[in-house]
Amino acid sequence: MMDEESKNTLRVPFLYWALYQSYRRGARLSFFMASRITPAAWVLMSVVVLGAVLGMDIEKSTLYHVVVLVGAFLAVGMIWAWARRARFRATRQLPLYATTGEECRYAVEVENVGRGAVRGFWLWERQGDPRPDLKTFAFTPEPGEKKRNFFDRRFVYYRWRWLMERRVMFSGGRSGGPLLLAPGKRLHTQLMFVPKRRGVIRMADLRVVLPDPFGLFQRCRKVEVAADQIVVLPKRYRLPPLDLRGESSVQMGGEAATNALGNSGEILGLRDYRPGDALRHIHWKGWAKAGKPIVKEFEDTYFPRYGLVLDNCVEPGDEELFEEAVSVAASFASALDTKRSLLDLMFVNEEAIVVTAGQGLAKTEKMLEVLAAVEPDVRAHFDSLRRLVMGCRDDFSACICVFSGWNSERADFLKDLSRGGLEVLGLVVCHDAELVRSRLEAEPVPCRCVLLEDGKVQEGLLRL
Amino acid sequence: MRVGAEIIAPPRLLLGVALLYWGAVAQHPMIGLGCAFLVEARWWVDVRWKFGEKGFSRAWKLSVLLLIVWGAWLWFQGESVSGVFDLLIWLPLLFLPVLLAQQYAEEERMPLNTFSYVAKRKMQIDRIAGRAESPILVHVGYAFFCVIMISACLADPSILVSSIALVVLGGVALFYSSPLGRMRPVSWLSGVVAAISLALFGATGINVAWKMLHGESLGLSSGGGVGDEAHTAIGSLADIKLSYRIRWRIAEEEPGPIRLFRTAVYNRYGHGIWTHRPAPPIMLRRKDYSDMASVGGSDGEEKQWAFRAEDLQSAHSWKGAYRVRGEVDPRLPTLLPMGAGVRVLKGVEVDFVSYNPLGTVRAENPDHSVVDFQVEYASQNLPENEGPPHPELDLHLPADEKAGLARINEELDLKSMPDEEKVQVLRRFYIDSFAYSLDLSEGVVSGISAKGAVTRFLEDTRIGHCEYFGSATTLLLRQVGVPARYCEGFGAQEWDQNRREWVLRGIHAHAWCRAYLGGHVAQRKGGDGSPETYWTGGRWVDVDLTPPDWLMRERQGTGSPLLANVIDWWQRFREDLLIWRTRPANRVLVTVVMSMLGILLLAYIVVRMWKHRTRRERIGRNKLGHPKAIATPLHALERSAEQVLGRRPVGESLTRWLLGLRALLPGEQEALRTAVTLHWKARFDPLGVEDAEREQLEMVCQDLREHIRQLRKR
Repeated sequence: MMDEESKNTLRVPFLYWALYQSYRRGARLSFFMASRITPAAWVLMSVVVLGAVLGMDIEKSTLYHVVVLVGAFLAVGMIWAWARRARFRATRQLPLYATTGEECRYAVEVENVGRGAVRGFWLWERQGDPRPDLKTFAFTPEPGEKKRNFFDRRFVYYRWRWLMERRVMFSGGRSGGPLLLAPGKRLHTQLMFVPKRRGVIRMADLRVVLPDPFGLFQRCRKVEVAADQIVVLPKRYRLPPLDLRGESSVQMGGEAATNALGNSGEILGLRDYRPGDALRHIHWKGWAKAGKPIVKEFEDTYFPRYGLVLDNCVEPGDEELFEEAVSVAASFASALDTKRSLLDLMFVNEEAIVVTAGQGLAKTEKMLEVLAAVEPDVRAHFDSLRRLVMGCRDDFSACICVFSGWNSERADFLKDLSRGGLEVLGLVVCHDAELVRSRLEAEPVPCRCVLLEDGKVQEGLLRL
Repeated sequence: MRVGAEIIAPPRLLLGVALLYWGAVAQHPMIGLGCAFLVEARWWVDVRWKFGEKGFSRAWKLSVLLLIVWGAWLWFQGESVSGVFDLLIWLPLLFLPVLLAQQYAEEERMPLNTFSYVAKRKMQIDRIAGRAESPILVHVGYAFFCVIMISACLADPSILVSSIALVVLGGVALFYSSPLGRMRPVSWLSGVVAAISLALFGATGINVAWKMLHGESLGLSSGGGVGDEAHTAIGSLADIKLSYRIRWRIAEEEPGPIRLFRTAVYNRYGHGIWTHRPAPPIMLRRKDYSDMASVGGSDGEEKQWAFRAEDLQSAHSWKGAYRVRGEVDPRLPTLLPMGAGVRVLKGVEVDFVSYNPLGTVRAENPDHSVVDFQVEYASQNLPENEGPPHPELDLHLPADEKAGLARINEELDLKSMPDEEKVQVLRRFYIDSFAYSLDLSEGVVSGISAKGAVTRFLEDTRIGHCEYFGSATTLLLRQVGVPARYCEGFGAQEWDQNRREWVLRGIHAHAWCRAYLGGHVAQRKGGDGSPETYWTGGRWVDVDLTPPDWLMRERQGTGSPLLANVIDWWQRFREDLLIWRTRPANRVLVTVVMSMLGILLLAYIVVRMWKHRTRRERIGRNKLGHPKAIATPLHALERSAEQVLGRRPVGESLTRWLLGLRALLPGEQEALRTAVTLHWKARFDPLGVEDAEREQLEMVCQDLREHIRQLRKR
């Protein structure tokens, strides 16, 4: 895999251009037909073909009766579906968030603005065109493509399928039905979809599906509806109770942020008012005695601060591992008690990014939103991440590092991070846990390191 | 994605009824009943299996194995390409394992790649490589239903029955598979009526087109049975290719004098077609056939057939005998190869053997696709077998050939010669001036001419194959007053010394003339007292004047001798095995061995299946077999909720589906939660609900129904 800049400078080979055109057109045709022809119609069309071949001699069998009858049903169904009309206007009521892999329902109010009643229809939320562009197709190898046979490597059809699949954001997107709507009337119904990956889903193509009475063909008419979007948060895993070092405590020299928010401990004394002091801290009796504003001074509250490091420097082909790593990070982000602690999410994307949640700075949802948008970075930016984390190391009570894959660079990073006595928990998402374990035995790290094998991440996390 | 149109399972009893119909039309009602019982029993028994991908794949493999075994069996039976139809008729039985796996599986659907080895292999490779693969899941019920209907149509040529069954069963299938069937029954019914009208129109059109294409409207093929009409290649452009395949094998101790085995004899020629024309007063060809007398056939006794019953009653010592073995099509009457003087046929395992006065003998409804019988012959044909010449029919000449034939005869001066000399002169004439060829390319027979094709052959082209020589000889002899007929059959040319048999192949197919030589016309009183002429004093003789090099030319291009030997060996092996297998002494042995193998396979499958069975969780049932579930007022809310939520998807629980109302009725979230809680308590809490709680649930549901009604009004 290569970055966008590199892709733009490369010339696409003719074969890939030709294959791209072919696959692109084929996918368009396939989508068009799949939207309008149901599996039942495909079965019946196969019957027509088979019957026509076997029943050519009408004196030997009556198979041609099957052919003409099934053909007639197909013809009537096709004409019927083509003749159906509907004009709808709709409004979506989308929730703010959805979660990868979890069913999401939302309400749609649909109004029949046509002249006739529409009996027997569904609503269908179609997603955007999942076909990749030429450069992406030409220069984005499918994970494990090298292991495929010569034919598959040459004609890269599986790469095309993989790229298409990667861009499909959700499955489902249909209402219950069949529904009925009189002209001028409104109907509330709900649509259900299951997000397949995190990110932002743009919804701009709501269709009304009008099948023929036999359910063989269906017409898809566009519904007038404003474009909308929904943020899909990463998948989260269940975590056992965490025992990280540091508790909320009252002591001197604590976090400045706590003052601003007013979560205070015991009264230390009184002092003169300074601009910016909260009115609720004014000591009214003192003011009366002294004749000038006096405020109460509190001892600072110290909150434990945790670092959550997401390693988004990904080896080519490890994109799926990265998705798991994001899910693991999201699980920690939502599991840690941000009412009694602060959590800094750190990763590198062009530049070092730190997002802090807890104590009124940002809610966990904000952090999950950031995680929904984080992209893997195939360039070697691990040094930037290392510098970023080392710079903040002294502020943390404990640090959780989530890696996608393992190498000596990451091992060195964990060693350096643990050196000052910081409690560090390393979580390595990998394809082969045994391989990583042997490497860790060869080059041990001075902290707890949990291996999460792809496909068994939940089991690994429950063993924490 | 497909919206609202997933393939769903067929309704209860549809597959069973379809299988019963198939069994009835395939004339195996008990097999149909058994299959239907197995398929529909899933509704009454709780035994289930967790098949998974491997289990479904095994079921498919078993079906394929059965298909291969059945196909091989049919092939061994000697079925030709038409045997494919027999195979297709049995498809519902052969694919039954797959359907049963579907019916009794805990899984609702099976992976589509079950049916493709390549797709399965691809998925395995992808999984090993760590690529996520999720196969498409399908329910095979409706596909299987289509297979049943196709097989039934192949088995049943009755248009009325198949049409009614197709419309009724197909209509039911479409009604239940269609998502709108029950919602818009009037539309559905209109669509069905429109489709049936269109289908009637289409079927009529196909019928008319078929008749036009096959010339039925001109009456060309009306009444032409096997052995009654021969469409020769005379007058056509053709490069005739003959098969090297063995048609018949005729075994005798020593190669006897018989060299020509006729299968059909004709007496009327016109425009390249030879036909069998019955002598008046018989008008219909089928009436011109008589059944041979027969004895035996019961209790394993050998069947014997003869032209005269007395030939079967006493022990005769005939001149000679030979044994005939060959493959036949059980669906059609078979023309038996007959030499001269045939008296008795022993061991022809057929229902009827009939013959006409020209000498054509045909067998009908053979028990197997290979016949094996002994022919005993005398020195001469019987009058029953080969009647005396008819004064008109056996001398008839087509109008467009008369002048040309007269010119040739005049040139050869045949009229003045005795019959035997006429034959010799004609033989010399052909050898000197004619060439044999199967390749009648353009330039040889092309061009528009007022002359008949035989005249052109005799006067202009002088090149042709045995049909030309046979027809020309017949017509030339008739022109000079010698009664003659046209014969089709085989010329015995290949003697297999090791097996002591004549091998008659496709390339040995031949045509010649059978002439009544040495006869003269006499007169006698007819039945009504009026004088009538008849032929007497002569005898029917094979006159084959095709140049003797015809066989050498036809042998050219028969392909690799090694391959031909392998094909010969296989054909012989198959025929001999079938004959061996169907002999009464061996039949029991074969049946026992095959049954044992079948029972062992079935027992193996049953034992394995029984070990891995599971049980479906059974809910209490009422008398009709419907689940006896506890109904709550929430169930009654479903119909109202459908108006705003659409139909409840298959597999989704009622409560989960109803909770979708929260988005539409935000103010009623608490009421919904209460209703669901009480519903669960009523259904699943062993203590049940109090009366007060039941009343509360009813009230809450009533309120919700009202809110839904108001929502719809808005």
